[in-house]
Amino acid sequence: MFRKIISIASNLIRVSFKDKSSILWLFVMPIIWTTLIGAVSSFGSSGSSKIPIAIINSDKGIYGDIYEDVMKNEKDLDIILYSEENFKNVVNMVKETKIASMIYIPENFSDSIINNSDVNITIYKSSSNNSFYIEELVKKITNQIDISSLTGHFVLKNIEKTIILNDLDKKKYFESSFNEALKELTLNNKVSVEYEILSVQKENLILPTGFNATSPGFGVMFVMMGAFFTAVVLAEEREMNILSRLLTTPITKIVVLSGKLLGVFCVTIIQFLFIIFFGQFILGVNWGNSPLSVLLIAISFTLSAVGLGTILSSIVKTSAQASALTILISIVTSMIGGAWWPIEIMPKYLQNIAKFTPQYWAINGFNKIILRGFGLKEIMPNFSILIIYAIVSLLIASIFFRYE
Amino acid sequence: MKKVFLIGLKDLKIRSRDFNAFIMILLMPLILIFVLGLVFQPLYSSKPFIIETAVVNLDNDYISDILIDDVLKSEELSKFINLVFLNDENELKDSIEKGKYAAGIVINENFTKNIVSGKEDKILILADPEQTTKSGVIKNILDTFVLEVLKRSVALDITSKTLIKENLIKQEDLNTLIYQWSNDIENIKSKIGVKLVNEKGEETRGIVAMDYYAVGIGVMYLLFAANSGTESIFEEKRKGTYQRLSIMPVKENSIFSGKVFGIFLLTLTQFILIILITKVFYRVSWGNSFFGLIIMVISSVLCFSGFSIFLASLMKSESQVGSIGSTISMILGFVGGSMWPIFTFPKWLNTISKFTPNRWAIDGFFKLIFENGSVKDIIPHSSILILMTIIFYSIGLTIFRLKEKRGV
Repeated sequence: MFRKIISIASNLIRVSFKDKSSILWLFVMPIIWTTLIGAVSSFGSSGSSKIPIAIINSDKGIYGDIYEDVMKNEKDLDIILYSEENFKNVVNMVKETKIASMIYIPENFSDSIINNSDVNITIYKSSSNNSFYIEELVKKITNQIDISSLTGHFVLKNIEKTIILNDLDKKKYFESSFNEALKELTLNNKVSVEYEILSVQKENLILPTGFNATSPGFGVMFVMMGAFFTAVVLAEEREMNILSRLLTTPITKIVVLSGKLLGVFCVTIIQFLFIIFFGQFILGVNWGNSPLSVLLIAISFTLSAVGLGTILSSIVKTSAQASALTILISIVTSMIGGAWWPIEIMPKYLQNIAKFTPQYWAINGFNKIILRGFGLKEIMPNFSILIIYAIVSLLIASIFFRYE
Repeated sequence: MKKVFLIGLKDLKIRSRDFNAFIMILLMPLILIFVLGLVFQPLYSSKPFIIETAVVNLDNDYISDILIDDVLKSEELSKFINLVFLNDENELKDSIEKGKYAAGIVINENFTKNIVSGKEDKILILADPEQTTKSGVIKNILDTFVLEVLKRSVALDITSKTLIKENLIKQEDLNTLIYQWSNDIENIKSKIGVKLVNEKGEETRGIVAMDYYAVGIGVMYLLFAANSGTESIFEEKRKGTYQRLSIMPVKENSIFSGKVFGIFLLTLTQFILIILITKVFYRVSWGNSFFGLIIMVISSVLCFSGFSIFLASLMKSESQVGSIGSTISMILGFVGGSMWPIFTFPKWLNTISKFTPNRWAIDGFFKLIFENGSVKDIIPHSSILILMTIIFYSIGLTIFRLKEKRGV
């Protein structure tokens, strides 16, 4: 009996790997997708490309230049200076998102600082740009300049309580206290906020992006798709009466089904391991903290995906229907399950819905291993839930599976 | 001409009854737009999420009290910060590692004393690696707070130093003066502000995620729709209906043009339905320029139909169109900016994206929607799309003719 199961399974594996379009979806597409999105979403984290920012400084005095210098010292920014005449062009560049934003220092900037009157730094940001990072940074720098100016004026005011200063002295006292305050704020940083991410790798990313997020996330999505696509083969075989022909041979239904399921499982787990190895060795994702835990989650997730795929293949009428539903279901549930973006950014009710998808438990388990450096003990809840998912879905699949 | 029209309409009718096509080219983009809009809306609007935050306050002096009572527990912030107090840093670390809190704040013993006496000190934030967006918000809040604290200490420090140096006050008067100065500083308002405007110089109102993705995903699915039309050419050839048509008194050219017209109609119908449904049910704004919208819709539909013909000319079977076609649609969608704002792209990817029709279509629609553009603003985009249409269509047609001659 086992030999028959294995030969049915190995036949399915052979057929799958001969098919060019399944190779495309099983192996090529996950690689392209993970690499592309990983490359893009590393943006804004340390070590990756800098954010391009344009500055137009129409101020005639020294404080506009000082502002520029402080901006230039920010290591995440790539500052490009433009003159006033290019205003329109630069606004266009912002519009076309060639640069992230433009900072405009107005004509009266220095005058306003010296006269202690109100003035605004303007950030030009495209409406299709939803990043708050630049805004926060510019606010911080503006605040530093503001405090320095406040200090300068405060010193002047208190000196003038006792003696009367001429304009030259005023300028001298203001400038020296302004500079001292700015130095204090930007360089010495007596009081600071230290930000430490409790992950295994000690790089401090601004966002949980890059390959560490895309490799497990999209891995899980494409494995789900892979399992579904392979299961679609079952619907196709039913359509072509191959399954009913198999039943005319002296093998039982249970053997046919087990053989097929084993085949689908093998194809999918091979795909999963391929994606994991690709992530580990090509993209440098830290999959290797606890290989056994990774394997357990991979197997249990694959099993549940195979179960769900088989249920799908018994519900649908034609194989074309099955392929259409495959893409729909696997992409949407993966989005909700947290494969596309960190689950933390979703509204609470969606996060609760997410817990019903197997993807959530797989990604959560992988994050425990990759990001937190946890091992077997901590991923047990994830493993058990996925196994229960697998058992239930495989049971339902085997009850409702139609051979003709 | 009438025959071309009839063949096209007939194809549209057949596809509209096809359940799979309905899922793939209508239901799928609508669901994607909905989910993406739902998920990203809180990020685009100012309605933030709840941040579970734990505090270990070893200082318990007045500066840390201000931070907790007047900042973190303030009416504005308490709406989205859930504050919990713990006694011990290890306990804090432990629960963050388990994912219980997004961020933990540790305020050292003697924090207030150190600051008042001008010694160095810091506030430590421990962040959950899975929730760094949230802990990033906490970091911004604390950064602002620290600047506020620094403002007082820097201003007082420099004032007292300068005045003592110039012999304007005496050391022993300092204590009374500092008390008075602190009160003075509290009442000074900041003079230099930051104004945020969009590229037109208007104060921004924040963009709606649903609008962004309605355009992005809508454009991406144009190619899916067009491909599902080209698939039918292969299907008909396989089933022999195409050959049956050719024995009718219809010219070969008319049949082919009819098929192409069918693809155009199908893609156009799909896009119009997506626009209508997203407008009515998701309340997506498609801009104020009706003619601009029509021009963009027609030029992008033409372009993607042309691209699909070009793709089909390179393929052998309908299943190839199905699998390779969807792969290409997704990759083009991504590279063209359907899912990620272009400005986050590295330069090389940004350059590549300009060779995709998706990029020009999306940019054109964004012009209409987010910048209130009119017909003249989108002329460059639609011209490029039409130019691409001509290129794709002529290459595709040439290859088809060559294949025909060789009898493939």
